[in-house]
Amino acid sequence: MLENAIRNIVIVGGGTAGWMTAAAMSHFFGNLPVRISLIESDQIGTVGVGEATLPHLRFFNQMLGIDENDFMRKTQATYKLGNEFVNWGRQGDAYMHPFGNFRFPEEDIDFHQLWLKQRQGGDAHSIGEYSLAVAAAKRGRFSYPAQDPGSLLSTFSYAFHLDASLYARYLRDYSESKGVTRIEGKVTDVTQQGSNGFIESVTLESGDVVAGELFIDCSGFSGLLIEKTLKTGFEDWSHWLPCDRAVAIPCESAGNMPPYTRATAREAGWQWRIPLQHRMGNGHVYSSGFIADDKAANILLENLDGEPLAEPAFLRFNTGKRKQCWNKNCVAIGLSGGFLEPLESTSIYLIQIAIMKLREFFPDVHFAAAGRNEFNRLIDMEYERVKDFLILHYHATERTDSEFWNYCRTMSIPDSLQSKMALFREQGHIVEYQDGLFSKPSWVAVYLGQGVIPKYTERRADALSAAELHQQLDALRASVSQAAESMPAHAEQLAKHCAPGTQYQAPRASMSLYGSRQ
Amino acid sequence: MNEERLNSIVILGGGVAGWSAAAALTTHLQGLGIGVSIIDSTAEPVAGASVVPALPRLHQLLGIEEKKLMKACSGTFQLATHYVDWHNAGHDFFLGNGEYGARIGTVDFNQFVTYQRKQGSDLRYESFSVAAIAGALGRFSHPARDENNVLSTLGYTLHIDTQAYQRYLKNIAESLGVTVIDRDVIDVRLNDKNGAIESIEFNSGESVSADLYVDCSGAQATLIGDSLGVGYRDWSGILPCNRMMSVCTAGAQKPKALSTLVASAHGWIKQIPLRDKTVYQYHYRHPLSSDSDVADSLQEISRVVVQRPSAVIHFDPGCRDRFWQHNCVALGAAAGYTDSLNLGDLHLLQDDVLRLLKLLPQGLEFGPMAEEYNRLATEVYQQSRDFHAAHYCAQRYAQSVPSKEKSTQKFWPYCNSLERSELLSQVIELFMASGKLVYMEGDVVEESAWIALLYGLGFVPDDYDTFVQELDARQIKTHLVNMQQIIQKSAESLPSHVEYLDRYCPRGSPQ
Repeated sequence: MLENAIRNIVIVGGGTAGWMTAAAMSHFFGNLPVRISLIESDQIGTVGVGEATLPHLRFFNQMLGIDENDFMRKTQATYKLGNEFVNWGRQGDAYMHPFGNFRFPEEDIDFHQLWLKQRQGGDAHSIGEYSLAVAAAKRGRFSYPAQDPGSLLSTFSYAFHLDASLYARYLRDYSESKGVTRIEGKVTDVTQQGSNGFIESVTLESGDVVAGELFIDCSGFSGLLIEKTLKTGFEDWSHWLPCDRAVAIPCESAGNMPPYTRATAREAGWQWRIPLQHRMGNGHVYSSGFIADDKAANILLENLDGEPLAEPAFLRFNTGKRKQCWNKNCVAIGLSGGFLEPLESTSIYLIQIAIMKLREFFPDVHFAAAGRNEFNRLIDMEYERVKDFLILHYHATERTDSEFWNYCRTMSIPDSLQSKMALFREQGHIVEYQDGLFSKPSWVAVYLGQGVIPKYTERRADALSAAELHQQLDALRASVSQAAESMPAHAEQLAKHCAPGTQYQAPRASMSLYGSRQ
Repeated sequence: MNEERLNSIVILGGGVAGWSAAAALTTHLQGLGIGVSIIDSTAEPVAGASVVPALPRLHQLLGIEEKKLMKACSGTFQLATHYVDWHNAGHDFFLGNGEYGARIGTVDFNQFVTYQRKQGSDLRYESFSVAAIAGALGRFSHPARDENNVLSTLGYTLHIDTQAYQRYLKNIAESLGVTVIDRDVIDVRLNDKNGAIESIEFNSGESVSADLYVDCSGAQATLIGDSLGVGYRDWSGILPCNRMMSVCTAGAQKPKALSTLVASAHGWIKQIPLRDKTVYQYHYRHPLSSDSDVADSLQEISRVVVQRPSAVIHFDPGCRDRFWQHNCVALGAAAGYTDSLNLGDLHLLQDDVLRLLKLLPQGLEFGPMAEEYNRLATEVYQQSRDFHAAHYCAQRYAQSVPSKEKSTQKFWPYCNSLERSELLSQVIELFMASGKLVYMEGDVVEESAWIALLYGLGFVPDDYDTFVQELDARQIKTHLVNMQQIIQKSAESLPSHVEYLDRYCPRGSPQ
């Protein structure tokens, strides 16, 4: 009811999470009488490095009414068609997890079953060769997906590589133009209500007091409100995802602008390569239990595509999730809520999901428990689902060349992942769910890409005529490669789309990873 | 023959469950050299009627044409369920299939209805369902394909004669070469080492073995229960009805595309109109009500003499601890029973059959598929249970005094003492707080059906979505009134259900 409506929202912390939240809230509330404040300090750096995203971000931007090309110009963004994984299953292996799906006439049999049958016949073509997103990414091509669901060119979706600090800056401008008040300062004290422990106000270094009814904690790893004040507790997942540090450094891109993120496995972690318009973002995520900081930094420096543009910056983190992302009148969004390493570019997605769910269960001053409980249950589910998918990358390996990989290969994994893997190993079955990441095409890409091959293919696939199937797959591969060849070069498209006054209009976004077919 | 692959399946029991499984498996495995047999020694299927999903994936898979099916099974359409006397005596509502209203801006439609109700309006939620309105008016049409047409929001299912449906499925399975074993089972032998089923022995001295056994033996659960000893979770404390008495009358003159559910002294009565008859099913709790009392009531309502005891079917609400154990999967009543208030009993069965096809083992190592099947089926059975259990909570939320008849009987007061599962408590709590529905995996019950049921049963959320305020009160009112008018007009423009049926599948014409 109106008389119980929340009138003051206080966001603590800027950065990507803070400004995404502020921008979304200012959009949601429009002209409604709600005051939105964001407290951030110029003294506290943000964790913004080159950041890879998922296609869902396009949906977020479009919801806010942001012009995609303007956004790309101002965040130095490039297009992204997927993630390439190098050296994961075995040293020397490479595969792509694309933002796309397969297109094949035999609709009621999974494509990977047909591919498996073909493979048994001795055919060595990788499954990626049947995916337009992969074919285009490998060739350095990009175009907007087609809107016509009948077209092969509609079988993919795309995301961005962007400079996260520039994106935060961009959203700050957006938010401020919509009436969000930015308060410069550091929070030094938090006041709670005596009766129920709800947060009443925060006090800044200047002595100013900022009060509100709803507090959104975007303070990053420290969890200023959700943890330091409310002592909510953290669920640690580092035994499954043992990387706990990263070192990042930008380098010159030497004109190389692949439309995909690359994750190369190293002896005790992995290295990211994220192409931006003006430079290449690089980083090495590693496990401090298995490798020293200086060695990790050396590995990164030895494996850059171009000249370094800064000193290496070190980060520490803990993989896991806050026990309740929404506790009392405080909602943790971003790193304060949880951290899953950037292997599948899920950080911004998880921020976006938390924002959307907060909107769906937006409280009034009574903060009914039912809405909060459902929010927490849904957020937990999102994290759990991503978690299993990430663990798969580490666990499904044949690498025996380092202690780290020996640990990952032999560690015990969650039961939920254990049963998913058993189903795929036995007969290529993928466990599906309605909401949350990731769906069938993603699991197929990683399983097969990392050498998890089913014992049996589906009988109905086996029963198809081998010669006919062979012919059909050849034809599909040819049309995929032809379609990819027909697409313009990524750099060329980027320049066109980002040119001032461009006429290009990005297609409508959806909350799908795979394009119009899913 | 491939030694390491699944090569043979035996289905025990020839009811609707057995023949659904047989038809689905023979179709799915056509030409793969996998033997499918069914042990069926029953002479004639049991009479009855049910509601089946209209365009289910199972029927698509089986290549069943709706027209032919309806013709063969005395089918009529079902647009909505008419609930009578649930919330309290004299109150009724229609639960329409398909969508309700249309999203306004970014907020779910039902939030605006709550808003209006809070402003003192007595809006009926069903007035935003084309299916509910058309059903109430006795009209019907298939949904429009054009998404911009309000008639595209229609949803429907079918009323069919289950006896005929079973024959229909049997024909499909037989035409695809299912082996029918007409023998009586006297024993089931288990493997000494692993406890799996080794063979089924017949009174003739013969026996049959298979890689996978499908237990469709009904509540008896000959394989999964008697032989493998898998326990049964008792839900009789959640779902009160354990018996059903049914009768048929001559067909109604002008059947509407509706099922009717009347809350009555001993439980509730489901009325299903078929082309040539109307079926009345009285669901009640024994021994709270005696068979003879129920028979008297049923006779009075239907004006047909009840043939006892053949008209009485017993149920045990509940489900298996494990639906798939070793080399045996239970389907139908052998798997469980979660009431058949709104979702017909065939609804869960079809869901089970599809799940089995999806997880059908390719090799002989069943463990991973069995685990997954059990996980999914448990969720589905629980959701179905709770959707039905919600019906019995209505009385507790009704503000007014129960009807005179109800208050003199034991059934409805008894319902006040039923347990409520954690999931259902969450559903009701969240709905009352916000009008939102708890997220449930799978699609066994449509979200729109849950919400319509809760409104219909008299649950009115205490609050609505904050973002309803994006529109002002006048705009909201105008929107809703316009929407109601469009829906009413569209429903009125449809042909009558009977006319539609006569044109779609005329009686007596060649198939």
